[in-house]
Amino acid sequence: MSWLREHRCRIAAVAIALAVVVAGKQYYRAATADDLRWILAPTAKLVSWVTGGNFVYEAGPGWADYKIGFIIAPPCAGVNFALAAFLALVLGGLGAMTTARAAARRLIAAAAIAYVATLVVNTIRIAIAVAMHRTDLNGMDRNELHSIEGIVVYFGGLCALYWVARAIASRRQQHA
Amino acid sequence: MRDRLRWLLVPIAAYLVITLVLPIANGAAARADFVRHATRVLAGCAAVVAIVVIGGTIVELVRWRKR
Repeated sequence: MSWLREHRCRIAAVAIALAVVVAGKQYYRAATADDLRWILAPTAKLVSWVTGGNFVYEAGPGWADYKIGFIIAPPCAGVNFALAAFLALVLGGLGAMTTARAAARRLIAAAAIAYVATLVVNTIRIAIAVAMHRTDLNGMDRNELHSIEGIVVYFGGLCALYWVARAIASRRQQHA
Repeated sequence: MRDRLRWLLVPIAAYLVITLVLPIANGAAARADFVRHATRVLAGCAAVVAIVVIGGTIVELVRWRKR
């Protein structure tokens, strides 16, 4: 009982994070390009800037650049990465969630950091995919490569994000 | 080495919850292509962990030689 009382803020934070993740997954399953404008529009802008392309919104498929022959569609939104990043940041920050206020602050920070990190990592992933699309791959399966590239960039980005967050947190602790 | 890699458990767990656990809970395991997806996810995770281990070992070796 005392353990529950001692960790109630952490338990509540994990429950909220899991609820957000489950709700986010359900939302993403049925989301259209227009629903995902909040994440696809800035991603398309960043990808245009990085690749030198011009991705414009088209109702239905998403953000397209027909000159390159590439569409940034809802499955490219990176919502799964955002949810994984949010969950990892919340789990990693549990140690500091000693009060309700600290837990709330950490949850909000985790959501904001996850959003920004998604824009960065997803832009890198799509820019690599565009470069692969422009390259002759000697008959290799493009869909397979695109999928593997996504897993490696997303998981690598998640590890890098978590490592940076941990390094910043431990540096702050040393200065405190 | 094992202690220094322990931090990877959190991102691995978070990634696998999103890419495998929740889809399985939603019934994706019955889909014909799910095994292929799961294999790719696990292989991708293993590749990134291998890169982190190799990178960490190289950094450690360089530090050790500088001492």
